[in-house]
Amino acid sequence: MVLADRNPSLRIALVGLLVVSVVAGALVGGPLVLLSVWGLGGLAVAVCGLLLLSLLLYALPSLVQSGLDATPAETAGRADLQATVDRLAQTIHAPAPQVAVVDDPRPNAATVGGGAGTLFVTTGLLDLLGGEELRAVLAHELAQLRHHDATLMTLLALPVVFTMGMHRAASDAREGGHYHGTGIGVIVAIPVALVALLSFPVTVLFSRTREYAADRAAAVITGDPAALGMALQRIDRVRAHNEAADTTDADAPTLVGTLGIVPDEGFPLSHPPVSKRVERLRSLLREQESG
Amino acid sequence: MGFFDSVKSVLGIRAETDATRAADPEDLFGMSTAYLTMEADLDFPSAGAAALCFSAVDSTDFAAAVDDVEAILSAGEEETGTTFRRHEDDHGYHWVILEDDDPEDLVTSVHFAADEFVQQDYGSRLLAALFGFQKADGTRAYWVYSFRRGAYYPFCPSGDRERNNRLEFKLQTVLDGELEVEGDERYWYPMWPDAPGSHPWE
Repeated sequence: MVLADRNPSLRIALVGLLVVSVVAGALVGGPLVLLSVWGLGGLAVAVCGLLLLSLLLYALPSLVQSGLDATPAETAGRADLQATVDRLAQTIHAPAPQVAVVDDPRPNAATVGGGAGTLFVTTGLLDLLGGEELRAVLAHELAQLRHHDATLMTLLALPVVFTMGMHRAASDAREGGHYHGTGIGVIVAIPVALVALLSFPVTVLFSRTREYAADRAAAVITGDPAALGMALQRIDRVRAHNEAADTTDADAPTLVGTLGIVPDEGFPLSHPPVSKRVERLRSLLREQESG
Repeated sequence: MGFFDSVKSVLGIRAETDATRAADPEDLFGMSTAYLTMEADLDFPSAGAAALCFSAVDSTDFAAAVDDVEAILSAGEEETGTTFRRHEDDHGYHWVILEDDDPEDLVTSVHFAADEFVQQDYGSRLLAALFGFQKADGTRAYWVYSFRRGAYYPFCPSGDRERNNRLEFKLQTVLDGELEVEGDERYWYPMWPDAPGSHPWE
């Protein structure tokens, strides 16, 4: 790991490898376990599960788009945003994603895959940032899209989300007074909870490493590490101010928050602290100056 | 997308490597004969201007490299009469704009400038070279050379952020073979001007 410490790209790649092994292990191992426990019936369950999963990943972009009430940038009068993203995509020779504007005062941005993908920005972000700082955030999102971060995060987070859902369903049932605990429930719940417990640190490590990776890529794409550093600090100040004033609407959609450039209130561990991200951008800037 | 690109993508290092990939300026000279075909076969003479689009790096060393490029172009100005100027567009990208009635001189100057970026190890910052064409009725067309891909694609803006796909199709069909034309139209990035009706570098 000494080499990896000196080489950020290698460290990023190692964590990527770990995650891909976990995801591939779960996708291959899960059906095998079911096959061995329940025979062909188990395999059928696994195949159905995988089909549902692919359907979910396939439908995710349009689900997010309709859930967020997003407008394409061109119809929202921000054709310039689309043109800037086209230019950034050209820099890394990637197909340009569709840019969509979400009416939300909290500054944030996120991407979801599917074709060339969609890049969401909130009106709060557009009000807060302009010029090179906005461009840096767009480049960060473009890098995440190129790395399929939203898809991998969705796959990784599934056990955690599933456990939380089961826990909620169970406690709702208990409160309702009609809780019939059966053996099957426990047999399913224990391994799922175990997987969730194990996958949680991997998810956190993965998510943080990918944020650093996208920061680096954005700095290289724009040639301007300082702009991203300033943008992150600016977004962070607004968030701190909002949290202190508690002005956020609890019912507002939070998907952009969870997958966004800064974390949602619900899962702050998913992103490294802004101060650390800025420190890494500073060292990139120093590298750039000293050659 | 190649297998290794997919691996790099999933491992999370692709965007950075792609942004630092070396430029490929070799096929720029194909434009010399393309100018002749454009005028003879399609009645599309040179607009008398070409431009190099690049992305800056916030460093003293890069600024010095750009100074060197300007010095080379100044020397060329005395020799061939190709004038040049600089421009930064609304998207934060930089342009070197070259003007000369002789297309041959435009191609040579673009190549000189691009080659200097490559020599200074900033080839990866080169985005595209644009060669302008204009008909007598005012219709404009551009051949865009992508340094990332080492290939050309046509760009024909019409009106406000609309492309004349029919004309682009025609240019691709007629010039294919003479120029290395990008086959995948997803990579025919539009190069919109800041104001409709002007050159992309205006």
